[in-house]
Amino acid sequence: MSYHERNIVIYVITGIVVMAIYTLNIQGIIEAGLLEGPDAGSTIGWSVIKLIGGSILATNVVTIIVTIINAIITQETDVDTTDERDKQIDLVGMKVAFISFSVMFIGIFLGLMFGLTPAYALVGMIYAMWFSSIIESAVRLYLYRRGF
Amino acid sequence: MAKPKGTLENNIRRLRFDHNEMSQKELAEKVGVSRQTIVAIEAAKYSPSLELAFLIADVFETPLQEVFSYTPPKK
Repeated sequence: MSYHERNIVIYVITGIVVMAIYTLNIQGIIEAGLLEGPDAGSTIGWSVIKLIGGSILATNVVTIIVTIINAIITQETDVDTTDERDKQIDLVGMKVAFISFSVMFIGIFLGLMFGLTPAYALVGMIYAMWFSSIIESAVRLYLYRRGF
Repeated sequence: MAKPKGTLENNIRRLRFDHNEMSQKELAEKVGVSRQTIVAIEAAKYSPSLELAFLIADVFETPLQEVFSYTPPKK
């Protein structure tokens, strides 16, 4: 598994774990009725800041640990060579992510039309961003594995 | 309708063998790409840019057409 493939897998796994924790947090917020109150925007804002911080921290920590373990096992150090193929794969991934997010974005607005509250729509946007990044990672991983 | 694609073949594997059994990693380091990119080019799963193609030919000190050959799609 190449340096880039490994980083994608790390990103996906930590993303799933972080989002699972975030889901529990959001579930608590919903059960407490905080999304219905006047401070719903502020509550979501703080939860997103915590999510971004936690996500960056978790990804960096896991990447460092996996890199150290990999270096010990393989006796090889990684060289971050991003070449033309990586850039092309990244572009395809970004394109797919943009399309996926656009579809979910429209879906959320359709939800607003049919009675979804803005607070739930904001939460939906967070999940839409996460899902699209997972789809992007899956596409990139597929292109690395299949050949591009 | 998608444009029909031709086939890009290469002799990199043979050329590596002829050049002191150069490894894919060595070739990758010489042209500044990852080993996986060389693997993909050798397997004809990735068509390199013109610049990278010339760089590969330069490593083997051979003309480009000795390394890569292109068969256009049938009309």
